[in-house]
Amino acid sequence: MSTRDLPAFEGFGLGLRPVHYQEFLDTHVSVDFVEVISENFMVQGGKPLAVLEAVRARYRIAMHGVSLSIGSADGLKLDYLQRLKSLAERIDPLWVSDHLCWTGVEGFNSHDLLPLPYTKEAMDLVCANVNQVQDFLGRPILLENPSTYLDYTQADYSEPAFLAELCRRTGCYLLLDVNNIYVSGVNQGFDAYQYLSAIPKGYVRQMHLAGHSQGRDRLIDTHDQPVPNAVWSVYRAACERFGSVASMIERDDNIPPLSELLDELDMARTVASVARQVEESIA
Amino acid sequence: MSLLDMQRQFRAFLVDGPHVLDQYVPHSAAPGLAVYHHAYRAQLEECMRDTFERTWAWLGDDAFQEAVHRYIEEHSPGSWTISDYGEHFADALDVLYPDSPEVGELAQLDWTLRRAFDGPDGEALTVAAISGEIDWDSARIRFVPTLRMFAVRSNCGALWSAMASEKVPPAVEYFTDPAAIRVWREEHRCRFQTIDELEMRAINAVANGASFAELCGNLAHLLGDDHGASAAGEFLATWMSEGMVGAIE
Repeated sequence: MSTRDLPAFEGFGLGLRPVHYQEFLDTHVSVDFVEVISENFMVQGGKPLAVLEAVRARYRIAMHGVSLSIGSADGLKLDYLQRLKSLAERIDPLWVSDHLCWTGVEGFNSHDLLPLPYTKEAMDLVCANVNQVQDFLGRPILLENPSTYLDYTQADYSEPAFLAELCRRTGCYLLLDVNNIYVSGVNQGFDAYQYLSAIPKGYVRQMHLAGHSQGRDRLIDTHDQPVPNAVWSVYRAACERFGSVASMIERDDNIPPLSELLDELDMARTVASVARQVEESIA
Repeated sequence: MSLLDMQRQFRAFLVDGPHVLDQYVPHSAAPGLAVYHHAYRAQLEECMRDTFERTWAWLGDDAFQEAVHRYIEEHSPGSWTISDYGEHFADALDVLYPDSPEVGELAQLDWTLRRAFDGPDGEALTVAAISGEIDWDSARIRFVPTLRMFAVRSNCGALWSAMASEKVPPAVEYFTDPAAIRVWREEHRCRFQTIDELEMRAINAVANGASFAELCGNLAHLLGDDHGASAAGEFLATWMSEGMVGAIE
């Protein structure tokens, strides 16, 4: 078990996307942090790294990856970890996060966030991999609950129980994506609010807010729409349970002008504020 | 359940190989599996459209889509970064279009420019920064680290440039003499230039470690004793003015 602490950071942020690079550099955007996709900057040089360095001089940065593949049964990719570590040392981020999923096995990389079966075997494997990553990086990591579109026939844990046990055994933290909870809940038939109540307080260090789309048979985590009301409701419940946690709007497609995302972020501030007042009045 | 075997079966399912994934998921998982099956291809197709933008414009939607589908069937992604996925697409297009080398060459140009975009940094040497004490008998030119060169048989560079500036591309031409394209990045600007065989040989010589004096000798062998040094000097002046030279050591 790792014993590294990660201080809480309260604030509201946005994902840094190329279409908004210049505005982040030319103006003071009203955010407390920005989140970058780690892999986009795990490159040798050029404009991406130059932009990141310039943004880093003005804003706090959280690193969010999509290729760690913490659940690959054949282990982690050491060249990937070395690149991730180099970027983290260069940027000194608030934290490094990725997803509870697997992306590939035995030299194959689907470049998709594939679901894990929540079995004891998977628990032991993911714990070993998380410990290896944290030891290698010299810092705790955050893992995000994925959007899932299927269940496996075998499961020893529910998803929140799996995440809670993972945190207890490894000392890692959680990036709670409330849109993913909602999407997976609709797709798998579980209640998003019961899911929240199964996540222990104290492990959540960041929350994602995003939109989704209705596919033919499933809700799809497309990140191409404004945050819908149903997700705002889950977010408010999450704020009431977990208190002030760094929160951000995650938009990856159909990206609107920055002002629209900042309006959404103001909505997040309002919802979190209302939730905090409720929490205080209960206390 | 064996996690390793389940992941092997899932991989086989994604790439349309023989699999027994059914033993790990309930019958009701079919719609969810379809989401993953679709997303795997959609992600790769989007990456290819992004990487090979001019090739896509040249071939048109249907032919490009067909070529990408074949490529996906024959190439499973393996790298940690999806940016690497199109590494062999130019070769695949050469096979698909053996009588139209401009197609594969456009893809090679798209690919090489993309590599230069986030390739290693290297400051270009300016004339003002050259030390007056260079010993030209032993001096060696070091190019910026993003410089790459590949042989071409067509005017793919002109085709690419026309499409990039949304002009009507010129007619395809096939060169009778050997030619090449050099690609490099000057600060944050990716550049390329179609060059003739002589410059191609000169760049190869320098990249393989020839000194400036040896470059002069090589060119004198090709052009005559009176012209080697002047040709080498002209090449060096061009390379420096275009931000291709990182150092003269």
